[in-house]
Amino acid sequence: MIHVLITGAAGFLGSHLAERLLEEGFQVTGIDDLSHGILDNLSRCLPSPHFTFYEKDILDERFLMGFSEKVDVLVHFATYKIPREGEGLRTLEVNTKGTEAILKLARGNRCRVIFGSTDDVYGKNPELPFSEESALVIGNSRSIRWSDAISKIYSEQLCLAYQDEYQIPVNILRFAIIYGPRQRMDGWGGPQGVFIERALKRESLPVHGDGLQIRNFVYLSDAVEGITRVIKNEGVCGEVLNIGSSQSLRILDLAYLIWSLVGNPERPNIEFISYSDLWRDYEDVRARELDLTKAKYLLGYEAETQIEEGLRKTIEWYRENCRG
Amino acid sequence: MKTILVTGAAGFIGSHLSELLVRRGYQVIGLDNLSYGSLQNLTSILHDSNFRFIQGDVRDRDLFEKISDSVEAFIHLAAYKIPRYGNALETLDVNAKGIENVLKVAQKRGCKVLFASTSDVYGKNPNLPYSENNDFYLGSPQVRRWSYAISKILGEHLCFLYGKEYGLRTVVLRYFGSYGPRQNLTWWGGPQSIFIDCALKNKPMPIHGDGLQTRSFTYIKDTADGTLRALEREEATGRVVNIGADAEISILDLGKKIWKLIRGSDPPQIEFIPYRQFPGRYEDVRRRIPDIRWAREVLGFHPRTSLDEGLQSTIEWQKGITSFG
Repeated sequence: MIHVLITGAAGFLGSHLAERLLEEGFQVTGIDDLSHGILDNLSRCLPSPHFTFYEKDILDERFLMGFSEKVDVLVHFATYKIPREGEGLRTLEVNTKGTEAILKLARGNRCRVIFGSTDDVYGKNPELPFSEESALVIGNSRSIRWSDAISKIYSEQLCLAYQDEYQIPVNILRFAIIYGPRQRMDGWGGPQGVFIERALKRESLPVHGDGLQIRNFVYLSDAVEGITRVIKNEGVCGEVLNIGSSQSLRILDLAYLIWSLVGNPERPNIEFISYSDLWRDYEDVRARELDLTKAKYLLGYEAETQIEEGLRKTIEWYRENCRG
Repeated sequence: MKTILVTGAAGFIGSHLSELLVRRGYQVIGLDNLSYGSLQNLTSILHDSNFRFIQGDVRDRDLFEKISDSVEAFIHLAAYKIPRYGNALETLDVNAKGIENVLKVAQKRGCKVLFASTSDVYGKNPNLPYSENNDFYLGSPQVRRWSYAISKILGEHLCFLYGKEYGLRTVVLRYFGSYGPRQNLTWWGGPQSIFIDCALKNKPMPIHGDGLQTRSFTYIKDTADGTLRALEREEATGRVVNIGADAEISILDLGKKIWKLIRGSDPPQIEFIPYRQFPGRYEDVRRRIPDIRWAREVLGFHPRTSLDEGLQSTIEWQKGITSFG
């Protein structure tokens, strides 16, 4: 039985991946410190005899040192995101040291590592779409806005350096914005959560900047499909892969789309929020589109879910689970 | 009298800077693990009462704590460079942990920190010259050379975040390639040392790619002077400062100039080496020139040494240590 260890297992993506792998007959171990993930997300996994959960911080060295089970694939999703004022150092620390801790564990275990990165690493690169070979265009270090991207870029390098030095096979997956059931509604996972919550309450929709920035969105089950294919396919070891969809859209259009899918008859009230009110030294990325040729060619991966369908399911889940 | 701790003190920049600081009346503690630096570089100040050398690693926090009692400022130069020939892991590890240790100790003691970053962070940015606000254009992580720039960008972020979250006074110096006596004689020290060696031995100078990639070359005395100004002028605190000369020259022209200074009118011997001969994948940066207006206007930084003058004294030094056997 193939044993997959998932860090950040109680999070949105981690929990869905755990479920999928259990369905497919894998043995799964989840680690999460529950700082952002919740145990409820694992309610379908926890009863399984093939699932083990540890409520642990990935920076807990003693725990990792003592972790002696044989693992075949280590999926590293535990991360700290979107540094707000005062949390930049924490972001850098969790993300860079977390990756290092995981790589050390993989080195001892002689197992594969799949690292969850982000399409934010392409930064301000004006040439669309982004292929895995595209330049990473990052703004000034004084802007805390880039701390998360830098921590990911550093981690990517660290993964590949471990692969060189210790022959740990690694994959780097650069994810678009993933949405779907169980996603957080506070903006941590992207604007769609906030829009859904506010649209259901028929409140104004907060849009950052002019709303014309373009982002790539991928539905949860498609992202999980991509990751599962990477896990099952040892032939892709060493590759950096974009995991997204062909659906890039403007944030303002996303707001309108969610508003109409919720079924509100009137026009939405859009509340534009200037970046300078949110962050100091913020720099926006105008557009992100992902070239998915490599994932399609190597994995046969294609994101099938249309955005309307995916959002409908997400709204449905939200209606059933979150309204009190 | 102020005490300054210089990491990487036995290296090329570190030794010149330590000399300058001692001459200027500072107490200097020089830390170096001598992995690449050498005590010979410190001959002129090793027995000076205002200089103390400590052999140790920048990743050793306990050691830092022990030797930092009286320190008022750290100048963190120690770094691992050039993943061109591999060992990206060492580069990522030493560079990230070194600055983190410095910042942690400095935070406890309220010291100022000068962090040596690099012009390499601007990467392949096509917009020249590079002002301190320019974006970083980094290549694919499959190209190991970028590990150096990325480790330095992480260090820059740490410096600014310690500034924001703990009020620490930090300065990020982005050095553009320096040369001069005591420079490293391998590619680690830049192409000029290789070219000088070849010209002295009447051997062909290896030039990577077509040689039309350009760089600026800063004489080491100017680099040290810029660093001293950033240390002493409060205006630099919380800023990034480019430290370099802004005259542009292609690598090919640099080779020819060095050849001429050493061998006069002999036609230069040049061997072009295509990038594909490097192990792994390699990406070169075509042009790299600093915009130093801020340092000039606010810090009074003027890299005065002309390339001819600087190369002449570098050649003199390198002649003295080259064996022609």
